[in-house]
Amino acid sequence: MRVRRAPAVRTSTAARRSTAKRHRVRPPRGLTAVALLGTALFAVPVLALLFEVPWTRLPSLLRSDVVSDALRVSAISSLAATAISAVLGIPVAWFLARGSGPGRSVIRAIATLPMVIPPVVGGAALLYAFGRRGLIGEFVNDATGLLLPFSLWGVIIANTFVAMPFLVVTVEGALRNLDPDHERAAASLGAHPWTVFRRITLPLIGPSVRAGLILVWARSLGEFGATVTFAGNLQGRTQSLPLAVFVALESDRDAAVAISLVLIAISFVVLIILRDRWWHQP
Amino acid sequence: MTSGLVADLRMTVNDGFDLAVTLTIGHGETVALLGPNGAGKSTTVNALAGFLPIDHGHISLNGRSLDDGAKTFIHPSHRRIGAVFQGGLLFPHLTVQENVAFGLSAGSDLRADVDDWLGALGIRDLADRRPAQLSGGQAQRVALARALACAPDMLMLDEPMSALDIANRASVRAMLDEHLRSFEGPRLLISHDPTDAFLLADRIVIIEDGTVTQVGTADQIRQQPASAWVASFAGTNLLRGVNRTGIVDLAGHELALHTRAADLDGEVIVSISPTAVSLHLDRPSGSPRNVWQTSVAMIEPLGTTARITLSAPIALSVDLTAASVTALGLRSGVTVWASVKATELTVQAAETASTDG
Repeated sequence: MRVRRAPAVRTSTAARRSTAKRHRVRPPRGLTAVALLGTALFAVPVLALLFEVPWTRLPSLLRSDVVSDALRVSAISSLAATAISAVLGIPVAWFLARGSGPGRSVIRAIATLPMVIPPVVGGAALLYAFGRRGLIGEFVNDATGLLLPFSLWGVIIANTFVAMPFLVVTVEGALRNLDPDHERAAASLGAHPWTVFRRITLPLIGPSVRAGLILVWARSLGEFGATVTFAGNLQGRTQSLPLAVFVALESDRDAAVAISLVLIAISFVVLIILRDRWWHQP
Repeated sequence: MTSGLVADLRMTVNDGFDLAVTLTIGHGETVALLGPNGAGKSTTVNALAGFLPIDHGHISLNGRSLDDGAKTFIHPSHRRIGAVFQGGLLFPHLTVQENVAFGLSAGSDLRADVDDWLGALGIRDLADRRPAQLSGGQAQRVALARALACAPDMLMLDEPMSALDIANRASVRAMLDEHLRSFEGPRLLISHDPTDAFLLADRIVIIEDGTVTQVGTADQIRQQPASAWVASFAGTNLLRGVNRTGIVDLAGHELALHTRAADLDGEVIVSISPTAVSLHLDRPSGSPRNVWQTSVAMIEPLGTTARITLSAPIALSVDLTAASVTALGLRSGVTVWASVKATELTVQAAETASTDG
């Protein structure tokens, strides 16, 4: 009896867990082993870092100006980059998926280039564009006195430059896979194209947009190369958490570990909360 | 003619499919566009709705030009054609109420209007549900309410029954019948199912392979089907053959039929109504000259009558009363004699009746 009851219980749990009422196919053992090895590649360094955490000094280290300044710069710049990417990136994705005319493949290559080129190169390119003597920067500086490099705006622009392609790629894919029938139905009901986009298209690709935004935010939070090149490393203005870690590694290793812990903790918590809530909702 | 829909659609779609369809629908008239899969029904829907521009011709609704293949092209959102699309196409992220309200201009007495339409279609209870929580029949009601709520100039129903199971069809058909008749503008029903067309439409336009092959009332089409496809559902047997002084040698069958069309030599099409054929257990004595031995291939009960399909030499459809089927003891495999009078056969020259050439 017991032998019989046990599988029944297991089946019902499995059925409750997965919406599809199918029996799970057991993955081959070899695959599981490789998967564990892959996970270890991520887990071991994080664990190693945790072993180094100076738990007694931690409260005082985290209360330092360096940490709170970097935390502020990182929070503002990563969230601002995410917002800017949403405003600029979704139209780019829409154009790539739905727009017409030649040059779309060129534009797609340009829009995704920052995913491929080293961030340092990206930072240098930003300097030549928006720097004091840059292509546009000189003009902007003369007209408004605004100097983008070495300011918080510089960090935001560097983050957006590096991270926005993740949103563009994700949303473009979603738009390509979206059946246009619902949008057509909306148009036939008299809806203006802008209304169709806002009330039908965007909600239908919502999960992909949210996934893309998480990727942008995550990439921004970890941005180093483009930021340090374009915006510099000024504590309180452009020094984000990754930059603070880099500097601290030279001077106070305990501080570097403490800041790293903060970065890992924030990322971990946010990813766990958002992954379930945003990614999987239809 | 300025009121209603006047359309002359001429276009070549991406994959090289040519469409040449003319369609007129008066005010308060229901026209069914009926055709087999791939005949051009979807292309017609897309052209009328404004999702595909026509190459030549024109579309006008109540005298307003919607598309003339050149300068004029009215965007779908300004055509004022209320459409119920295949499968309903309700917006999955909106509730029933929000779906119905979608096309209504903001402001006005939005909530009251939506409530009226929900009430009219008997779906008030479903107002807060999402489309995923609706049955196929309920979804069609919501789709119809959504289309009607915009007060369109014309109503277009694209395969409204295709996603429904048989149990739901009759009730949805009755619902459509009621609401089609209360809508005052031109009504277009697109279907591949003759039953819907026959029951709901005032006039039927048959399209096959991108062109109109027949226009008429349900009765006209039933009595004089113009193509094999129409005949297959009209129940009429449509046979090709060669006529020589009234004797038609049926193409591909070991059978010749005596007809009264002695003057129509050459390629012909013979129509035999399924009620014109008699079945006997023994060779019938007396006058009929068209007599042959065959067997019953299949029997489908149709209420008080039954449709029998005969085996070789020719697969004719025969309608008998259920009582006769019982009296003759018919079931599949039984050997029978079939007879049909020459006066019951309609013979047409193949050129005018055939469509596929």
